[in-house]
Amino acid sequence: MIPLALLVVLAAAVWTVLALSLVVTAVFGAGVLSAFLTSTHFARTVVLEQGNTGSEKIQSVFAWVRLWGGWVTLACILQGATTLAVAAGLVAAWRRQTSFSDRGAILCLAAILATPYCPDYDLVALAPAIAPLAAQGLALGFRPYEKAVLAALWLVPIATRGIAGVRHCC
Amino acid sequence: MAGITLPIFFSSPSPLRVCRIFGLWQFATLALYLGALSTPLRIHCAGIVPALWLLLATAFPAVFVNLTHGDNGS
Repeated sequence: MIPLALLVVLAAAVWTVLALSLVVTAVFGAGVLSAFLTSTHFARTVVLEQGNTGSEKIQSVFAWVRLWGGWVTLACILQGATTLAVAAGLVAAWRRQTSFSDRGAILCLAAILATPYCPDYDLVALAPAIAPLAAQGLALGFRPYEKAVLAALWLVPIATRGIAGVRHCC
Repeated sequence: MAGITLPIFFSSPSPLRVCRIFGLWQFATLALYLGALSTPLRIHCAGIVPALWLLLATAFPAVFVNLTHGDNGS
């Protein structure tokens, strides 16, 4: 069973997206909806499958497979498996009696890992994972590995594109 | 690029207007980002100077990535 608190969080995310969609539609007109649908096809074919914007810019399992020359089908299978595993891990983590900071951080990381399209600028979602864990560590003490992991997470957004780009070039 | 429908304000004939709207977008989303972070930090860090957390949150590398080439990440 999915924990109720997680369902509430996910419902809040859905309502936020719906509310923002209504605001955008009210401001720019109904044409943005068809433009959005058009852009999804473009994003899937040109950006993700063909990698025309540069797969090294996208931090996902799908982009990793494409960067290393894997087929689109293989990339879809591995990304799908990753997303399912992340969802199962998320539910398992939220069923445990861990702190809300831990569960919130896991949710942020899961959101990043679950999508095939996560450019490096979307890694700003790591901040709400790092901040409460750092705060909790300062208040209650850090676990032995925690400072190193948080420091690595802090550097991830600025390092990923460069590292993937070097691998892509060589 | 073909297939992309750009937001309406990019069709503005005035580069200055585009810059102003872009600046507004950057500042508004930065404020939303800091606001989202402030809630958990207020709960856990009542004794720590708020300005320090504000500085650390703004110094997060992903913020600079968004300032330079992020389009909707912030």
